[in-house]
Amino acid sequence: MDIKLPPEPEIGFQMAPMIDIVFLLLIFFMLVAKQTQSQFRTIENPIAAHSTIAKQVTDRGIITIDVDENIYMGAYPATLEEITEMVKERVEDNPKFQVQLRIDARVRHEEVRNILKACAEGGALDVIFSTYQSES
Amino acid sequence: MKLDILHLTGQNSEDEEFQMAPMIDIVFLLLIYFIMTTTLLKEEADLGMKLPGQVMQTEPVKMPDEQIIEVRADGRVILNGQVFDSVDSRSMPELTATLVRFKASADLTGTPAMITIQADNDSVHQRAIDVMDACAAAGIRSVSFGLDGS
Repeated sequence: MDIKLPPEPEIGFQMAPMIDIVFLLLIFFMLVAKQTQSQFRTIENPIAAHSTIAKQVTDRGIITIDVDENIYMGAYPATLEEITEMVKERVEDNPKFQVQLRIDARVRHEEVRNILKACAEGGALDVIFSTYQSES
Repeated sequence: MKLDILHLTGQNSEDEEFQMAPMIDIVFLLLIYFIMTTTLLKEEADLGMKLPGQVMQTEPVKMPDEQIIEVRADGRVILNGQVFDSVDSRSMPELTATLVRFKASADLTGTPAMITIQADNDSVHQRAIDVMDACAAAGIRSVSFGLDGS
């Protein structure tokens, strides 16, 4: 008795999965590009070989000072008085609140001291300086 | 001679269908554009410090063994009147070695080792971080900044 087997499928290059992957990559890069643009100011962090990479970065407020000594709380410009007020509110809401200072390596120390005073006046005593572990 | 009417009227006799190739070309171009323009962010690390605050004290405190390190505007780092390392030295081996000895002697006497960085107003932030990094290398965790710049 003859058994009719289904025809052998043709072996060929499948475009559909490749296009799926290309689209996924495209969407990933489009999203990542937008995030990096909108989140924080770009600065040149100081280098500190003995700094440690934090495992947990919750309960942090990020203050940035760029090379032109403009101050930002998160992504928005802020004055020292506004920073003191914002820090005070955040410390009241969350006693574990820490301030992470992203300060350009070329900023004068006077600006660093002013921002430290503003944080202390707001009640944030845990201060973290952002660094890179190496230049590469 | 018989003329083909279809050719004269400009009609195409081929089947019309969706062309994938140009679309894939554009998608690839977009992909290459985003790959090239996206810069991967370097991972940021932490150097922490505690600012002085008001706390209730219930137990007697051991007075810390404190040293003041000056950072001058030109990048010189001075401890006890002595200049340490060159102004462009990032790792500061001489200062680190001295701080290691300071930490060891403080540990022997059971007092906490403490460093205050007195930086000039016009010194750059990187130089203060260099000193903090030397403190971290020596195992000194109590680091603070002086209030007045010179």
